[in-house]
Amino acid sequence: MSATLTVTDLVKSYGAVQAVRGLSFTVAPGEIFGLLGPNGAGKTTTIECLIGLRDADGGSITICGHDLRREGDAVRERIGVQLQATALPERITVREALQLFASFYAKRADPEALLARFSLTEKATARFETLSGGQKQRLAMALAMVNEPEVLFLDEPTAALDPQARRELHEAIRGVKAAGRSVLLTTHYIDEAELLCDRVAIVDHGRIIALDTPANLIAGTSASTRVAFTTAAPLPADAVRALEGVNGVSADGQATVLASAAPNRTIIALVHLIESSGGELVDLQIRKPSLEDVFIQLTGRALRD
Amino acid sequence: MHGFLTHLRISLILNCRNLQALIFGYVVPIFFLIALGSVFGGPNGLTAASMGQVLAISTLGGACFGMPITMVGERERGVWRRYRLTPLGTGWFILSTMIARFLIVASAAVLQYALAMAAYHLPLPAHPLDLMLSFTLVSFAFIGIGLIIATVATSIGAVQALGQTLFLPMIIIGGVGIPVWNLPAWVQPISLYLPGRYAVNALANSIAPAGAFKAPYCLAALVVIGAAATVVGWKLFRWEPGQRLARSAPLWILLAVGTWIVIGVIAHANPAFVPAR
Repeated sequence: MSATLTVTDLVKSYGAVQAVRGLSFTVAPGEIFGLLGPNGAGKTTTIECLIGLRDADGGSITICGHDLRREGDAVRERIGVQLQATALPERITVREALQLFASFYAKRADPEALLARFSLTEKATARFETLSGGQKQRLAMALAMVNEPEVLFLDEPTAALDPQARRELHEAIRGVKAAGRSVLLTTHYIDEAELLCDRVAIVDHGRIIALDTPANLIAGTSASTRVAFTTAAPLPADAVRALEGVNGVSADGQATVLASAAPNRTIIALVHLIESSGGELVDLQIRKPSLEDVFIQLTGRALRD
Repeated sequence: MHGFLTHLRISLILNCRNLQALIFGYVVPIFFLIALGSVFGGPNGLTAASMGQVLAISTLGGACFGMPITMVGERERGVWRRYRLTPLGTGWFILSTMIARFLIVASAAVLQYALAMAAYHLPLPAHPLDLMLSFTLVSFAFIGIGLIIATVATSIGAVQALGQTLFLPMIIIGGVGIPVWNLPAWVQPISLYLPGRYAVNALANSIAPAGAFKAPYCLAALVVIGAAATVVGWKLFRWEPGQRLARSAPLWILLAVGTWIVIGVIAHANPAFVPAR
């Protein structure tokens, strides 16, 4: 199946600063593709080049078979965009905004259906200035869907949203995928990328440093599962270090984090050790390697450094 | 409905929801009418010349302040950035914005005229179609100038500063606020280089028995001023908040202002082209 979005050797500079340095990737129909990276990695510049807000200095962008540079109008008819912050006239109502944006396109979704789909029916007559952050993001998402786009671009769609609003937006994004449309999203939330994306490109300093499915990226890292536990009283350090599967220990008072190559056996051994020493397990958490570990392994820095 | 028409309709609705816009769009023009009616309204009521001034002032205000303030406010908040992502072209957005402003100033003008008839014994226009044509051309010229202000200004404060630099000279020495013949002789030729002089004359001629085509040069001047300003405003149009003006901007602005100078020079050299009012 041919790609919905093909980006080849994308380059963009601001003066002497190279924000994007030769990015290449494709997004397949029905795929959710994530650009993951720290702030300043070049994600937003990339997406702004893809949607035509900025002119790339080099490279090519093909969306739904149309070259962005030569067939911008055809591309704009086929894409939906949710910017990091969507601004609308303050006094426009939700329904009017949907009607207005629908009128700009040849292919139009029913504004009333979008109101229902994004749980905005009750707010249909509310003015934009009165909406909460989550409602504004849902409206922005509805506006992005107003032309039933073949490709949806979402720039940090859940930034600054509360957990409930984030969950709602995740559901909406999954719904877009279920309808067979492609999604390209940028995020610096690890869990968002792991939960939503079929493939993830990890971006740093304007370059893709890894690109694969989240599972494959994580499987490729040498990072161990972490077993974090807290006991009522400290355990003997030597005994903890000798637990089966353990290949690293860090302790801070009663709280200890074990790196384990065999977490099942490590936990069983840990419980035995606590019982045999007459101790009490207060807290136990297991954290598998994540895309954060992949990023740390590739760059030596955390995503939020 | 086409995006252009929907944007036009929404622009008008939003204007009606904005109390400040309503005050500046309708209440302030009534104050202009009362002020000029009180000062220049003789025993027989308001003259065509004075009513031309009233209509020109309120149109100038709506074009040079009302429209750019709305446009700059929306652009700097990122509203136009979002519009840019849609397939509707720049020209359609500019056109719908200009027509919306025209309809706003036209409705204020109708209100002013009706009040002038009731309060200052102003007769019906002698040439209603001429008045409609003149008013359209005056609006075109002034709204075109307002478009340039909107593209150049980076904040609402800058709109007010730029607007005043055009508004005040036209009011004081351009024949719009003070009749030209009340100005010192050495100042009167300066008004030939300002669009307001031609606007007042075209409007006044349409209200008086003379008719707008008594002074076709005024109509032509308004067309040229409006066309040049609209082209320049379109060329310099900015979608993004904080977006830099094109490097060629000074040349484009010079082109727009240059048409005023050329029109003034031609009028200066041909007494037949000098507006009577």
